[in-house]
Amino acid sequence: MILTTESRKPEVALVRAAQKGDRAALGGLYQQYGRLVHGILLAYVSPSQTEDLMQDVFVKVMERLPGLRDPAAFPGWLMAIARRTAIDYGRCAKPITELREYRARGAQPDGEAFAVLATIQRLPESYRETLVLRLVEGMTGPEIAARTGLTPESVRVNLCRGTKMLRALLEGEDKL
Amino acid sequence: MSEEYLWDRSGPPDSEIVRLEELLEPLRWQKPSRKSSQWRRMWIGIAMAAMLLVGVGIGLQRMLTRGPVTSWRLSVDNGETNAVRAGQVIETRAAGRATVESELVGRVEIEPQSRLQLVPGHEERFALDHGTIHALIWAPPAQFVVDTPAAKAVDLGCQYSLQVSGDGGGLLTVETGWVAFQWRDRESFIPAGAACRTRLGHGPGTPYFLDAPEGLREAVRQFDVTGEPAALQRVLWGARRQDGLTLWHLLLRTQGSQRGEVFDRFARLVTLPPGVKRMAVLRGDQDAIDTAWDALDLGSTGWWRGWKRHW
Repeated sequence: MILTTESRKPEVALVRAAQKGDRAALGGLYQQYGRLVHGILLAYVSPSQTEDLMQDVFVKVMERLPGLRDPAAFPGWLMAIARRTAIDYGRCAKPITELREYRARGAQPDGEAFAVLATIQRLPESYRETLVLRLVEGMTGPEIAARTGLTPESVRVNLCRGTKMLRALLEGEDKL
Repeated sequence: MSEEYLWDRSGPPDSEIVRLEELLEPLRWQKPSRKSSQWRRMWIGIAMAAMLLVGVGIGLQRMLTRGPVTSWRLSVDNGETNAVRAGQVIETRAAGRATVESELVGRVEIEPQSRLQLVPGHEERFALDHGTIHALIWAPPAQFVVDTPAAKAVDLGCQYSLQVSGDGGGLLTVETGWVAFQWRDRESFIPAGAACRTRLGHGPGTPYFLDAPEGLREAVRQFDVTGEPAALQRVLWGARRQDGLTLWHLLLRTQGSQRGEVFDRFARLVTLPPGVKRMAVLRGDQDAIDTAWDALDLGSTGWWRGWKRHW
C-alpha cells in the first residue's frame, strides 16, 4: 500500500495532536514509526544500542515536535533525527559482543546475522538504510517509500543496487 | 535475483533474499506491548520529555533514564513526579528547581542551573558537578555522600547546603547536625552554623562559623589560598572562643612554629582537656589533636572518628 496525501491525513492529525502535548498521540507515532526509526538506527549502530537510542530519538521528538511547521514532513524529519542520533553516537559493530548480549537477553540471532549487518553498514547511506528496512525490519519496497517519503523508484533502485553491492561484499568475505 | 520478490515479495521467492530475511529477522524491532518493559522504559523517557516541555519555565533541562529504578523520586515545580534511575543525571535551567526524595535517605532540593547525578550503583551517593543543593538527610550518619569535583561531603546526620561553582570549587554550609568534607587525607568537620570552602586540587579549606567577624572569615579564606603568615595572624587574633573550631583545623594545616602559634592561641581561648600536651600536638600526634577537639564542646571525637572509618 502506498500512502497518499489523503491516506496520510490520520498521521498528520496524530502529529498535530502530539505537537499539542497529547502523549497518547505520541505513543501512536512511536507505534507507527518505531520500526522505521529502529531500521535507521540499525543502519549505523550496533543492535544492542538501538533500544537506548530509540528512547533518545523519541525524547528529542517530544522536545522538538512543537517546532515542526509542516506535520506532513514528519517522516523525513524523524528520519533525520534518527540518523543524526545514530551518527552522533558513533558507528560500532561488535559481532562477538553483540552475540553474547543478545543470547543473554533471550533472543537468538545467528552470529552470521551480526556479520551480515556489519557488512550492510559498510554500504552507502541510502542503500544501507533501505536494505535494513527491507531485510531486517521486513518492510516491503512500497512500505519503505510510504514511510520514508522516498519515491518508489528511488527505493527500488536502492534495493537493487544495495543488494548487488551487499552480495559482492559478502562473496568477497567468503573468499577471505 | 528476483527483483519483484525483493521489491514487494511478489513473484517467486528469491532464495538468497529469503535466507537473508530469515537470518536478520531476530534483529527486527518488536513492537512492544503496552505492558512490556520496553514500552515502560520508552514512556519513562517520553514522560520526562513531556515534563520538560511543561517545565520550560520550571527549568528541568535534561534527564537520562537508563539504569534501574531507585528509591528516589524526582519532583518538579508543576507537581509531576517520576522515579529516579541509577545513574540518572538531573539538570536544571536558569529558572528551574527540582527535588529528589527517598523515604530511606532524605530529601535534596536542587537549585537552578545545577547538575546532579545519582551515582550508578549507589542508592545514597550523588555527584554534584555544578550548582547548588540543599540536603535534609534522615538516613543513618555517614551513609549519604555527595561527591563534588573538589571534595566529598559525608553527611553525619544533618541539614546542609552545598554549592559547586564552575571552577569546581565548593562551599558547604551546615544548618543542623554535622557534615564531613574530605579530599584524600585532608578533611574538615563542619557543625551547624559553620561553613567550609573547597578548591579543586586542594580539598576542603578551614571551616569557620558564619557569625564570625567578616575580617576573620576573609583571613581564613586568604590563608587557605595563599598560606600567608599575615593572614594566619589575623585569624589567630581575630578568633573568639567559639572560633576554636577554626583554630583546631589549623592545627592540622600548619607545621612547626606556625602550629605552635595556633596551639598557643587555641589554648588561651578554650580549656584544654587534661593530657593534651603542647609537644604532642606540635609533632602531629593524632590522639592529642583529637583530644584537643573535646575542648570545643562540640561532642567527643569518638563519634565522628568511628563513622569516618567507614567512608
